[in-house]
Amino acid sequence: MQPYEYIKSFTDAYRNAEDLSAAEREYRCLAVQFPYVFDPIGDDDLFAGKLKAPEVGLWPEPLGGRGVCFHYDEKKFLRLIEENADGKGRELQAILSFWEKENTRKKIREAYPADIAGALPYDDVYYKESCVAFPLYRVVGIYLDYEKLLANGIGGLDGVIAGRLAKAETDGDSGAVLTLSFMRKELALFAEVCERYASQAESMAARAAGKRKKKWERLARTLRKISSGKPETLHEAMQLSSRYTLAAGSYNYGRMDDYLGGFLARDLESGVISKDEASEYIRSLWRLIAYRDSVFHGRVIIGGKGRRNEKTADAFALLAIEASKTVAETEPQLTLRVYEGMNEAVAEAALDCIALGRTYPMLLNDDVNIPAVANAFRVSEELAREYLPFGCGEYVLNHQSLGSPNGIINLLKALEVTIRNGFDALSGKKMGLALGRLEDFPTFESFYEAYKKQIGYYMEILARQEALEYEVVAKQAPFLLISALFDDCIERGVPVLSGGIRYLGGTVETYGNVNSANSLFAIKSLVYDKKVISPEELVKALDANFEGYEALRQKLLAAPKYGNDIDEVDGLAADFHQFVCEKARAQNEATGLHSYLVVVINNQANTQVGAYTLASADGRGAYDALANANSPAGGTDTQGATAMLNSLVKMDPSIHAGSVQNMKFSKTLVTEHRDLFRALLRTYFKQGGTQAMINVFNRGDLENAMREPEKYGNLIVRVGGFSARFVTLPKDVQTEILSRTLY
Amino acid sequence: MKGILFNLQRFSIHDGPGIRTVAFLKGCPLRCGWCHNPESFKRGVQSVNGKTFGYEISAGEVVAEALRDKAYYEESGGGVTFSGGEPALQKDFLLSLLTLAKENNLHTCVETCGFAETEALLEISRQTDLILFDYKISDPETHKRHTGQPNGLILRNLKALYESGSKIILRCPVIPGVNDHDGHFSAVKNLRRQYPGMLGAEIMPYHNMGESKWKELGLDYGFAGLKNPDEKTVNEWKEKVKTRDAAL
Repeated sequence: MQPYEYIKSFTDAYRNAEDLSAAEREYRCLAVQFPYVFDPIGDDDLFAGKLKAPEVGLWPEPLGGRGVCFHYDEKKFLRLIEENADGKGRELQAILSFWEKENTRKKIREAYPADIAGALPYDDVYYKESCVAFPLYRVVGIYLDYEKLLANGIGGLDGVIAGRLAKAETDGDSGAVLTLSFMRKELALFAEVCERYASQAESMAARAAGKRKKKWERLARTLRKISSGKPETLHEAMQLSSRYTLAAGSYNYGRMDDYLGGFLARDLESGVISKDEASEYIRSLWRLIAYRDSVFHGRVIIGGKGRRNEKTADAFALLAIEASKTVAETEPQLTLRVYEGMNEAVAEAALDCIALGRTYPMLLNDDVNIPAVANAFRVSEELAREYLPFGCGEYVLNHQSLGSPNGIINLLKALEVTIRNGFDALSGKKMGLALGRLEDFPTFESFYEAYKKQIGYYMEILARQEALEYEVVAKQAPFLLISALFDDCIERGVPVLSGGIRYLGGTVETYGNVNSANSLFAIKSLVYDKKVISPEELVKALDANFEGYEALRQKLLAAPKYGNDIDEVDGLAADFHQFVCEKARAQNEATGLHSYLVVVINNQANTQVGAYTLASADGRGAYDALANANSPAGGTDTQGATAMLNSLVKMDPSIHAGSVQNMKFSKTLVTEHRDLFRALLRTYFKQGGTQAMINVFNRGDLENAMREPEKYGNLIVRVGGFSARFVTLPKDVQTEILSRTLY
Repeated sequence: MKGILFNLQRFSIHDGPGIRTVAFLKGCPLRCGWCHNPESFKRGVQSVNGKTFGYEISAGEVVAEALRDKAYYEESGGGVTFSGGEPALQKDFLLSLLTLAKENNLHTCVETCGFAETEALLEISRQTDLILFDYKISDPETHKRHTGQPNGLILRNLKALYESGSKIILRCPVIPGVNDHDGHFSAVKNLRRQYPGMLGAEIMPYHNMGESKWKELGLDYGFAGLKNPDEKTVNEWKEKVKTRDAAL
């Protein structure tokens, strides 16, 4: 189908469903969308798994575009309109106007009451507007129940739903009848896609010879099989799980070692495949995940407590790490959950891969994170073992909870407007609460209270925004393929966002945490305790971006900074962290969300929102990047890796839903001093470290890559909660990464 | 007990086993021309062109700082190293550091240039887990020319320490044009044969990171422009001091 025909059909399907239920509309739209977006199997692919981003479509978060649920890609539309100067162009223009009004993002904005609209005047344009907080539009962090999918197959799953549907019919539960019947229909759509792929594979097989013929035949068999039957081989299990992930619009691939480990062991034992063939499958899947190019997503989780069969899972995990060594891509974001007593071979393989500079696997420490998640989410430790990081590192409970990060708060900007009595000097607009100017506060404590009040104001708004966003999205589409593989939805006969799951939560991304803490400390120490800088003078200096105030700036820069294991400043940082996290965490009751938690995740927004933040009291210049997540501000950690790690572990992990910890180590340390590097990480984890995202470079690599990008095309770096090819990043993001201390 | 440091460096991985904190004590009897810590030469706190070198600190404060990383030492087999300058120049301070470190169950290293009173070194070594003993130049005259002192006392001290049963690792800075010749490497090897109970000999290749500090201190750096040796050269040096029975 050509784009024009597709756009028309999809839009008609939507329009014609005006009087129908959201479930039926979703089904009708997907019936148009599926055949269009699934691309043919590539010649070198061992699985069907290619997808394109449509001009208009229905996903929880569009691939590579903006929006949520019903969304459109303006750029693609405009290009098509330009290419079709005739009647088609005019028609497309009319359709574009239709979606400009009808897209879900717009509907969310329209639903805002005055106070939310006032506090959040902009949508998700944090990279080009000056504001303290922004809403984000998406439903992400979807981890499907692959165990259930693989144990039942599509046919089996359909049977489960049918059974529940029969009961709903008997009970006269019309809501459940609607939800479950269209869930079955969407499963049938999925089966059709598999069948169509099977036909492609069969016709390819007929034309191919030798090894290729075998590959196409295997694909054809697998696709026929999984369209209804229960998968029995590794190939079938991998095909079904990855294919379903795409169809449902999820970007995460779950505890893969756990759900595929058994298939691997069986296939190896029965001789269906060799270990090399298994590795080839995994590498092919890795390439397909990378091909999808979801940037911040593509999580594959291995390791950790709570797996059904550690032995078979570890065997898969080893092959997964091996694949990440060979396939040097920025996705999948391979993540290893580590714990005391884990398989040493897996830990060592992980260090080998990290030492290659792959940034993968990222390490998450179960021993700390499980109790922390239990507390933060208010769930049992047993359930907390199912925590998984998605996207940039936010935690959810595997196929039981959602916690889409749908708000951003720039804490340093909040400080900036607070010391100016609720005024944004950059845009010249009133912003936030007007609580007085810095000089109006007689003590540091009274000022700190005002700042906390400001943050509290935005937190409450953002939490309500998130709950409202879910509500609007739920009315637009029930996401039935997702609901089918989330706990309780089938039993309750209710979709995922409408009360189908027990743990519908939200998260808020905080930025500038560390710059704010350092600024607070400088204000406390230099303005209030020692009185060497007057409040008026400080604000003037910040307004002037320190021009003419060089001596004052030096005093600010010389004040102790977080990241050096200095108790007084780290203590204030920890107190501030506690406040911010608890403030968010307290929003669950008023919003009706099961949890609402801070995520200190960081993508590259620390650089982007920094560009709209004036000079700050930590000595940071106007528009410079903010520190990455909870890591020390670039270059301010001068006391060695142990001091830096000691500072990190002072931040309470049990009150938020994840905090990424990016670190840069030299190749020499991780290769020539492997014992010490291992000891360093181990101790950090024993001391309470939650995560480690490890960049490994040679000294000078980044500087050289900025000078001669053509020679460093393969240099992969961990930006924040995602990895990227260094040379493709914007200059300011490159500079921020360069500024971080290399140990 | 207070003393003078010019640096206290955490996460050190080159001065003794494991992850360590190194306290650099100010003051040195030698004047090695290649020294990368020229601010260690003078014993007192110095002020040059408005910049201060060195600070007074109590033994308790030093050990308290070192204890912050105790968990890292335990996991890596590390501890605390007292280096310099020549730490024996502040003998009483060093002894109280060592005592305090031991009371807190920290593994201790002392790095010495060997040019100190023999009795003092022996007393220090009795409180120390591992001595890092610098061995720079084998020919006495050349030694005097490059460091300001002959090496006789140094060699006698090495013998005395060895015979007292101290655990010793030999630390050999190799400076291109000064001691990167076979004669010196053979001398190192001979020492290892002479004292077979030594735990090893480490090659410490020249690096020019000290050059800017000489300038800051208003001193002339005699090795200006000397390049750091490449990896291949360093590996060759390492090969040359290897003995059959002791791995590096």
